[in-house]
Amino acid sequence: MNSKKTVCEEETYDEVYKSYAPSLQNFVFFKCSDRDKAYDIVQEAFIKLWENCAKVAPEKAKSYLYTVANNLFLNTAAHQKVRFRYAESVSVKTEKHTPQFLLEEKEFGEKLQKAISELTELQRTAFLMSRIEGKKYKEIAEILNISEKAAGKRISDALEALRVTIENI
Amino acid sequence: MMKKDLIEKWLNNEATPADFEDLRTLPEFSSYLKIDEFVKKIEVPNFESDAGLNDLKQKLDGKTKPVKVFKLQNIIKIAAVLAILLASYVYISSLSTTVDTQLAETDIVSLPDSSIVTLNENSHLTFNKSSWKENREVRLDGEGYFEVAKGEIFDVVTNHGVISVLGTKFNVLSRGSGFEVKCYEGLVSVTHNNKTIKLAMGNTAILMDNSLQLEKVYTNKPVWIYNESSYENVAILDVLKELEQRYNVTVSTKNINVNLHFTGTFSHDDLEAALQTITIPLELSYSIENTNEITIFPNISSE
Repeated sequence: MNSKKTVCEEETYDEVYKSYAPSLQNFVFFKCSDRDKAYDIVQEAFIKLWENCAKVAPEKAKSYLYTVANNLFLNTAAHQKVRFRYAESVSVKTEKHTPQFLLEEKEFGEKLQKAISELTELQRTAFLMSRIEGKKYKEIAEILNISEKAAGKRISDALEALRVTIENI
Repeated sequence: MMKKDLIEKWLNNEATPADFEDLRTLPEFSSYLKIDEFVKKIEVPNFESDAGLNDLKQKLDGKTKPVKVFKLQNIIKIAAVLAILLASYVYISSLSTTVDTQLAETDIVSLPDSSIVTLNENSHLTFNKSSWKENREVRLDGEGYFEVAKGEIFDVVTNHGVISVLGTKFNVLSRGSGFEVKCYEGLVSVTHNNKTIKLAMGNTAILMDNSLQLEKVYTNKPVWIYNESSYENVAILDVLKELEQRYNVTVSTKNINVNLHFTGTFSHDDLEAALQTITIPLELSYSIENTNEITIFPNISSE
């Protein structure tokens, strides 16, 4: 993106939206497992970006959006803790497997699901951005405003926590 | 490599085949692989960028901050600022320019045609920049030394009369009842009471008894420019008034002949010396009280 452009220009704004909105929605989704809420927060964050377009350079837009989305999420989460649940979306492939195997797989999926919901919000977000989106530590660190080393530690700790939880269920 | 480092490397998709050999020796690694496999099956809602963008644009419209209005508002703001600037420019340029000097302060004023006026203390000069081309005219109350660039008629308007020139150097004093024009170069015409006289270089016209009288000028610049005041046959009361202004003092007189006239120069930086230069030739004396109250009276001997 040309640094002389500003986000106030519709073309640049649209470009920023298409580049960052999908991943931003995932970011919020990993926190709350609520698709609608994640979508609303993404849209709200982009409205804020538009209102402040003169103050936010295009190259700063990404970190601005993540910060705003995180704040918006924290605001709603504080008021609506009930909605804070992890989605049940592990689908087990039903191919040529024995019923015994399928049952075990289903059980494992449920255990993992529970274990994930027991991670802290920060661990879960970092871990899922790494595992599902395949983001590198560097990018995750930038989004979460932590060091690359801390990002790596948070993700590996999350993995270990999941393993321990699953084995104890 | 440390076990933790190895796992972190793997999680960042940077593990080499050799690293995998090591990883496989870890008892928990098979669990990790299985977790990773399952986590990647988590269903993530997809995101329709175009639909989302449309949706967003509608919300922005509803917020009365749509793109076009936003830009229009900016244009209106800029236009308003420009209009105000233009209006103030037109207004200011139609105003007269005024220069004032305080007591014991002189100022050099450049006129639009590069003519120069050196303004003596306690004087007031007004001219109009915008109509300067059609009308070279200044108003003067006080004293100024003019060095006028060659060109059309240049008028100095005072309470006592109008001085018209075509380009020359001259000094005008118009203060209280005193009126005096000194021509240092070229030719000056002085109009007073509908009577016009031509003043050639080296001459001075002084208002006395309600008419202009001619005298000679012996310097090539007014002496006040050198921090002195110079008089030729000027009423003593006018001289004392000038002294009051110069030194910011009050001068009162006692039993002196008000018809005395003074010819000479007094300094602007030494009050005692100035008082002596004025009083001694006229056979007067002075006293100073409270540093700024001066009384002038006749010498005892001449009484």
